Amino acid sequence: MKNEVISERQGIILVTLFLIGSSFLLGSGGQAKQDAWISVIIAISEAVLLFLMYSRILSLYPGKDLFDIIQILMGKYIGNTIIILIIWFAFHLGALVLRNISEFTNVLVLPDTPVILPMIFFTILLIWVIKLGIEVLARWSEFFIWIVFMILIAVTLLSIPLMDKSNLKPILNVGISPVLRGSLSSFMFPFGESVVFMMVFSNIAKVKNYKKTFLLALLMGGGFILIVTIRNILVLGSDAVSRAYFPSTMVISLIHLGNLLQRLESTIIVEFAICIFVKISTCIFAVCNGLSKLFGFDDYKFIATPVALLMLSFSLFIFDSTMEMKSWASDIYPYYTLIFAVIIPLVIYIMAEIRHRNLKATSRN
Amino acid sequence: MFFLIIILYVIVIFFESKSLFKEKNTGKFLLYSSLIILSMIINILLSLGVTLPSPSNLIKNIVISVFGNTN
Repeated sequence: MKNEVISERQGIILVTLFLIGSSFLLGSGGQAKQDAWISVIIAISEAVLLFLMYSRILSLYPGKDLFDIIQILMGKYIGNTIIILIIWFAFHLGALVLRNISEFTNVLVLPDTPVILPMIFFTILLIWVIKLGIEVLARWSEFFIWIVFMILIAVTLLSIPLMDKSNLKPILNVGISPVLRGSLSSFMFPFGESVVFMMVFSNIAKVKNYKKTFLLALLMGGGFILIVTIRNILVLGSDAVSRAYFPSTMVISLIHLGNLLQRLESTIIVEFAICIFVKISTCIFAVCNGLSKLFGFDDYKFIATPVALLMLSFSLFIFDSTMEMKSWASDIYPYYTLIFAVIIPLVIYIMAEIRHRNLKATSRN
Repeated sequence: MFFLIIILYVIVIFFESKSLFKEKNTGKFLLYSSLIILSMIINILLSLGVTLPSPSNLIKNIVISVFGNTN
């Protein structure tokens, strides 16, 4: 990714679409029932700290991404072990998200089609965009974010007549602990996952300001997730939200405005496809970039096809059923992501900060 | 079914390795071919109906052994 340049605005849009991603469909903070919106707010405020840490690490080493920084800080052997773990995380994340969209097509969109067929075409598109590079993806998303915004705002406004504010009550009736547990899961999915961007953003053009990029994107993406969470609870109530696999589609399917506006689920499919496309292609960018850095190549595009195909085949056997996917995502996934999104970057941050101070001290003498 | 997969993979490998051959970079070619052969083997096994061990169970066991029972 040496010569590829994206502007700050495009970076913000990419992170926003990544954050909206699959959490838009699957919902966030489900363990907290009717208090899920409180856990999303807590998660956003935690994510501010996390993103400040990420942007500090990246701005200490301008022009370098996470893999370079690990290699500089930890040396060859330990560094490469950690790089392999991080590559596995990005790869697994991509496979999980691909599995989400394949479950979605299988359950709701095209129930009678073998699920591999739409996924093959989706994978061909992914390979195409990676061969073209991250600049093309950034320009593409700059246009498509308006579609996402319009659909989201229109659908939310149309669902206002269905809302019932008694669904939010009682607030905090079982204590704070389910809210905190929901905030952990919401903190990791989607905010913690954006550690993937540290592996991709080696070169935002002319910009030293990673902080602004990450925080503005957090504001937009987190705001939309909050709106979606509150809307789902207000329309469906906490029981239906926790029972449904894809609560947002259920909300949209309830919208009836005369005979004119019905069956708006297709809008949500468009939106989901856009966000998921950005999310998975970012993961594949990270994996290709990491693999080429690990083996010391300058180019990452040549392994796009095998990585995307491997991700597709992993997504096919990674879970047995939708139920397993849902339970794994709520019980195991937050703790698994905690290692990669918080603990490893924290160690890197401390090491980078110490090294930076030492360098400053030696240069002063 | 798996004949179809093999044919598709042969087509993909043919078109992609052309440019790699021209570059004469052995390292790149080795990485590319090992990755694509791995994915071909996995896809052939899946098409033959073999149940492959899922990594999610392993991760589940590791997470439970580190953090305790998470429910």
